Amino acid sequence: MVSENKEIKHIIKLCKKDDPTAKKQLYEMFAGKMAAICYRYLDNKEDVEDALTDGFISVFENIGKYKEGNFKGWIYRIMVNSCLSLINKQKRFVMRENNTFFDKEENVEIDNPERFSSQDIMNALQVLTPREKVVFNMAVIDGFSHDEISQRLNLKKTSIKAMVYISKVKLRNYLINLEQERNRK
Amino acid sequence: MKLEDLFKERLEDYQIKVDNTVWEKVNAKKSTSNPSTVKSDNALNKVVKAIKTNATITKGVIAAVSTAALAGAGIIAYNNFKEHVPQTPIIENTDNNSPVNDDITAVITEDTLKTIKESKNKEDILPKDIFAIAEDSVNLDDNWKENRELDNFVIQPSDPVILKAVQHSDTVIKEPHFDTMRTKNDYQIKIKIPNVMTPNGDGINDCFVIRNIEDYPDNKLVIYTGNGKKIYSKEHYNNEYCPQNLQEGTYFYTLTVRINGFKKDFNGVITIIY
Repeated sequence: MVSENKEIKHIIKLCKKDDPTAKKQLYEMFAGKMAAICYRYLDNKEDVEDALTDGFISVFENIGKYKEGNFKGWIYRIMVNSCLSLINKQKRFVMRENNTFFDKEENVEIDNPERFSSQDIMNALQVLTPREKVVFNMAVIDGFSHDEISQRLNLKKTSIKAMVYISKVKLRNYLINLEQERNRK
Repeated sequence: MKLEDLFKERLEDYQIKVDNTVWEKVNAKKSTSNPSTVKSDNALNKVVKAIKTNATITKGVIAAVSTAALAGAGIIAYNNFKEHVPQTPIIENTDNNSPVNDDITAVITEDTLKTIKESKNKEDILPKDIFAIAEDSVNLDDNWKENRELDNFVIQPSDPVILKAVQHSDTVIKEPHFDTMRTKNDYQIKIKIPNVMTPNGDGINDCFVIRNIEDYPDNKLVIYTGNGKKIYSKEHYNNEYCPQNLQEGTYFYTLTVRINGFKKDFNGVITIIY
């Protein structure tokens, strides 16, 4: 882990000097993971590639501004921003308030988690509507605060809570169905 | 295991293979976003982009701008745009056969007109020049936020430039696979609460009957008098309340229905008459 960090630091240093090999290295290090992020937010290949391209361009343009701290977190942030601005630009869906009130923090438990692979989890996300996907990703997986989501998407916090809960229920139901189908086979 | 932990754990190091073309694009710095659309929320940018990306519209714009230049005096009238909606858009797409997504209406102020008039060959003015002027003078973000629910986008009267992006109804952001409705219906509560009771013992409207309440057993009903005194309270209400000796007048109820962890309050007035 330590050596990996050192390696990243070295690569970043070279990237700041605009070294083409280092750039390629950095890209190869992160492209797969970043693509996974984009696939969580967007639903088709073209959009994912656009967001990825924009994200990496912005990474290389702004790498001079990166000082220290968690580089992975920094690059994650840029990618999520890139996805959000693409969604915003396309205006494929409008963020609307969800008027259902939800008053408790409820835990959604999954019984035998070891049965689900990463691929299953990625597939599960597709049951959500595009905007639920965005909110769920931001709130649950990427750990944005509800304050920030509410600012970025112009949504009330109650809506976010409700949407997160609806998403969780949908995802759990999907996973339960998946398991039952497998058992039948 | 908590669902969120499962998702975080499985997705943390998950990778998806990426085509080589992406790296080529990154390397060539070919951004997919148009440089003029950096502020994605900016309606003006949206209009500019629509114009830039559509050659037919561009033609329409130039023609229309020339018309506008001739009709210069009429322009000021549009400054009170909201009250006086122009009958015919000044700029419109003239070619009906082209696959156009956006009609664009723009009203240009005197300064811009001056620029247009002073240039000898009006065809030389590109829409981007006009909008470049506009972009300098107006920041549309706030207005855009205010009007984003509308199909039309209008700048406030005091602003030097008025632009209106009209979208055809079928291309208005209707979010094709955006199914809020399903989510909403899942948790929609279909009950009907009466507003009148006649508890005179004739068997008609003697009880407080909420239609379909049996589908939502997790509920709580409280009834107050006009003074706010609680006279009836029941959890899991199932149309049992048939009051007697109740004075004529107005009463209030609050009904809380819970379903799948969601809560909805209904408040209202019941009038008691005999």
